[in-house]
Amino acid sequence: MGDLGRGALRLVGTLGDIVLQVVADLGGMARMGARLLVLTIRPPYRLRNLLSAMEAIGFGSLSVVVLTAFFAGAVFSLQVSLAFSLFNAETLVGATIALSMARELAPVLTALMVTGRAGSAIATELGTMRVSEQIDALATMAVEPEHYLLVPRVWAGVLTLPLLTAIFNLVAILAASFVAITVENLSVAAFWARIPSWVDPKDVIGGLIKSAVFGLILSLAGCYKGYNATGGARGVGLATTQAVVLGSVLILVSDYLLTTVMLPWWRSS
Amino acid sequence: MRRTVIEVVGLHKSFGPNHVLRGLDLTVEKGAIQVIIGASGSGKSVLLKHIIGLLSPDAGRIYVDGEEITRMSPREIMRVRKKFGMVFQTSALFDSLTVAENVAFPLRVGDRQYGEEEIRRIVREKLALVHLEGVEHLMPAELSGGMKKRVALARAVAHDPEIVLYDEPTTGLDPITVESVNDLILETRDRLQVTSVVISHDMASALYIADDIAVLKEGRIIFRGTPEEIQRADHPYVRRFLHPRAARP
Ligand SMILES: Nc1ncnc2c1ncn2[C@@H]1O[C@H](COP(=O)(O)OP(=O)(O)OP(=O)(O)O)[C@@H](O)[C@H]1O
Ligand SMILES: [Mg+2]
Repeated sequence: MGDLGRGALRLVGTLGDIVLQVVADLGGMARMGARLLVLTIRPPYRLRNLLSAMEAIGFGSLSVVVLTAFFAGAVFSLQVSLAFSLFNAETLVGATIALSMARELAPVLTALMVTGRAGSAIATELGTMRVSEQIDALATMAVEPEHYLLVPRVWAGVLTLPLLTAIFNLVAILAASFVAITVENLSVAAFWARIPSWVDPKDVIGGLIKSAVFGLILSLAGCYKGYNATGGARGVGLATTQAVVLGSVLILVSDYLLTTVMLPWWRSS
Repeated sequence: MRRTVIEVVGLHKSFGPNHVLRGLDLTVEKGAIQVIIGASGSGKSVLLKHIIGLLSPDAGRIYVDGEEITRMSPREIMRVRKKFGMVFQTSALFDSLTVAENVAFPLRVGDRQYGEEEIRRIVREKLALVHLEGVEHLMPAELSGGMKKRVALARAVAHDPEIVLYDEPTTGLDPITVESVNDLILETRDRLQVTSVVISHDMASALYIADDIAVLKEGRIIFRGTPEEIQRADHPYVRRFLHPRAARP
């Protein structure tokens, strides 16, 4: 067998490992999610913890989200302008970009960036608290650690991701119009003309709903991996990596499922 | 006879093939200072974590104030834990909170409502007990190991618990601070009839503060007695613990 064959086999093996790991984690994550839902309705309601968790996810990821949005919008604009100019469809450039941003690119890219930035941070923080016995210490003070630490973080993910996704949409479309107008010499009017008629509020709303689900996934993955970390600094590192892999894979898979569910709604007028 | 506050009956615990506790029995009376000694790795910390319900036994029962915690739901255990304060061997300070916030934490999450001024006063007072002043605004990462341990002590007694579990409270401290920690344990007991379980490697402190000393070996308590009794004991392992070879003339 050649090097290429061996390489291909290893790749398939690694992919298989990831799939097996994700499937194994899915059950545990679902159980944790159900438990956190029950705990959510139980007092005390710790608004301060929620706000600080939202701040950690939101402000922590804002710069990387803006940066990604800018370049995603800019490069997408270059490609679409080039392709559409071949058959004189320049007036569709803006609408096409806006639609794909709202439905797919903004929710998915935002979620992936936030997984790398904040999902990993959640896993690291909780994992460190676990291996240094801070979670045990919390429990000895008659505070349910899941209630105190996990519930606010998971809700922060659900509530923050739509905000970040909305910002992504805005920055990406502005960047796209900037590039189309300055680099590709499209007129301002041509870029914006078809957007109102092509992009429906439900395209944007559907994207934001997706992003809330992604927010749940990435914060739950971080919580699940971090909370169950074992084995010192190495265990924390492992939990962090696994949280990112788990979150990213589940985001991509659920995006496909969510799109399938939403397409009929998006198509209807 | 005084009332039994903690009762451990036939406690077994294994981690994989490692059979740590092997049918351990122990009773602690109200207001007593119960010291537990034993070799490193003998399961002292594991025992303490069972008493406060952080670990659940493979077999055996644990009673706190006559209630069997080993059968309780997590919510009921939470209720019983309100009676406890615990000093972890690793200190386990919340590293995202300042020293003052760490000590105030049990006050803020407890049932009783404290005013901000009252919390500040208690934090100052408890930190003074362990000879720490002016460190309120530091983060745990900025403290030395011994300082962390002392903050953990202050945190464990902040809400005046009925039972305090101390996992090696004096390890890593200088002799002068050891004295003040011993005094803290004694005063805490005297003031409110607090029941204390103290794990210690430090024989001098153990003999000084203990009402009763239990020796843990191979998963069981192999000897129990007052400091006087333990000093007179002719049990070979206990004698070695009291008079390690290196220290013999
Ligand atoms: N969470 C755990 N998982 C697996 N093994 C554990 C765990 N906690 C403790 N052990 C094992 O149980 C045994 C007793 O540990 P424990 O921490 O109670 O010792 P100790 O008596 O407190 O020792 P030291 O004086 O060094 O603190 C050790 O062999 C340890 O490896
Ligand atoms: Mg120990």
